Amino acid sequence: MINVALPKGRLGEKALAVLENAGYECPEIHEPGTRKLVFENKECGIRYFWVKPSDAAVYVLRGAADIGIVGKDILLEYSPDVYELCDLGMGKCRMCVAAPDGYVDDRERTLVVATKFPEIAKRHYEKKCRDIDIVKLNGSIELAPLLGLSDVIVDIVETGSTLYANKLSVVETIVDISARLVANKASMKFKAADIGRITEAIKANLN
Amino acid sequence: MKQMNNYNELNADERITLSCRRIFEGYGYTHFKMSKFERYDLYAQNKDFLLSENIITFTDMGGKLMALKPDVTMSIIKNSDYRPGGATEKYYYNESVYRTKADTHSFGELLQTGVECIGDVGAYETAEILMMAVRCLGSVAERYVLDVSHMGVVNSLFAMIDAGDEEKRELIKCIGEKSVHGARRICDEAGVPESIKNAVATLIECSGPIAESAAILKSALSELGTLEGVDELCCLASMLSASGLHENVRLDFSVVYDRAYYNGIVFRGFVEGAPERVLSGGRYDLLLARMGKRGGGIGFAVYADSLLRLDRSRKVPHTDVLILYSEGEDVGALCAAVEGLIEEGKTVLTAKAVPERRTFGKTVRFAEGKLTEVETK
Repeated sequence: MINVALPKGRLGEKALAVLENAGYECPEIHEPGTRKLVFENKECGIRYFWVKPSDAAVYVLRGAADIGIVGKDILLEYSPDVYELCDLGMGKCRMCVAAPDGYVDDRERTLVVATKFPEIAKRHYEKKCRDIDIVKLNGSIELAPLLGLSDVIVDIVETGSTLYANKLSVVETIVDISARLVANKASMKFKAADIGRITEAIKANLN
Repeated sequence: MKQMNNYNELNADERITLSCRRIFEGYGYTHFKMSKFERYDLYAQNKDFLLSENIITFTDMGGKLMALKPDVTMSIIKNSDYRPGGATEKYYYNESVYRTKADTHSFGELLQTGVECIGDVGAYETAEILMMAVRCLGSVAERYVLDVSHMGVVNSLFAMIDAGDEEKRELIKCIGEKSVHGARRICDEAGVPESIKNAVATLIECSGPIAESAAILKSALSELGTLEGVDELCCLASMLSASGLHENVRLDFSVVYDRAYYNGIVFRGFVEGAPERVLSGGRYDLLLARMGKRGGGIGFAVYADSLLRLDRSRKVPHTDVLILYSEGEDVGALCAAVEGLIEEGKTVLTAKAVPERRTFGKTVRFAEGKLTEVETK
């Protein structure tokens, strides 16, 4: 039985569709109004469970899930010791630095950066030898520069419409983001054939 | 008195350290006991070698900055006095180390047992270390895998890649994550020739039983000339086959360590039921050189704390006899009664009330100098 951590939300549903199209169906996950947390199809040898997107990597890292769907943003931020088996090419977006329209960087001052992703921000500015002060927030990051809490933000940008609506614009792109299929390292040793089959089926379904 | 000589009576961590110790001593390794503290300077110069760069420090009475040991290998190297031509030093240890775990961000005391071989490290010594690693894994779990790779192969391939240190670090990360797509992207961006790009993909994808995979690797990389380490892997595979310990040993280049310290065989062990590696080791001649020592070095550590998670049973403490007594009884007679039972080989707990969450073979009451068995619910 292969345990799969799926991120709740649109990305998880898309990933589930890919897995089901690849032959790993699970009818009970579609039962309306179900309050179950774990769904399995013994015939296919697969068990799915929905988790908070930022927790999917933890489930895989700790071996509660053999494989999982995790955004590259989470992988970059937390660096979990897992295998990254393939780029699913879905949930595409960018990790960007954004600032109020017309913003000009003053390199004589410490840059105040608001973000949900302090590690990504830290690494990005370390490469530039830029002294920064990180304000760790958990949501509504766009608000920070508007209220003077930060100079810039480091956040995920999908369409840019939230930035545009708040008179913010992208200053630079740090990295492109998409969903990845990840696997627990120990599971890969003992369930290599099953995980390999799922990975190949997913890849074939993506092309 | 009954001796604690039954292996099954030991705690899980005691069983692990005892079984590993028997293996290490079987190969002639001697115990290396060390202090819990070291001068902080020892680690400051080689922080990248440590699994976690956070170190618990304190100032001793003489004003020296000390550290609670985050690593054992460096302490053993520091004390090595190997000289070329002299005897190779072979030590084992059972020690606690103090460091943070990547996913918890808090300090912990972690029990580690392992071996270090410092001196003239040749083909036999390398095979011996791997044989011990296989035996350690086999002593704690029925299903296990030892993944082996070679930093020499990675380093000689990287020498052909014209890219900056940052890109190479990223590339190493991709190899460790088995991310072919990530490695291809970095190679594309760095303009790496197709043949080298394919070789990197081969490294990532070449995984399986060591003898077959080493042969496949040798043939797949042959167009790049002779890469350092490939022949050593093939030779190692045949030595392990000769010893009959090859079955669960696999070639897997996702085992990659810091190129500044490791230069040869590197490996990691997994057992079924543990979500992370329970053993890791490798050849670290470069660390020895950085610490001003001569010769080669190879060793591994078994992470007892990771193995303890395998034992999910919750033991209820059991004692053979519970003696209940009340205030005012003849304590001398009670002592004699307890001693008598212990001499018979029984375990005994004396208490005034029945303790919870424990089991007892029988419960007796001590009153007026006599023991009387009582019924318990």
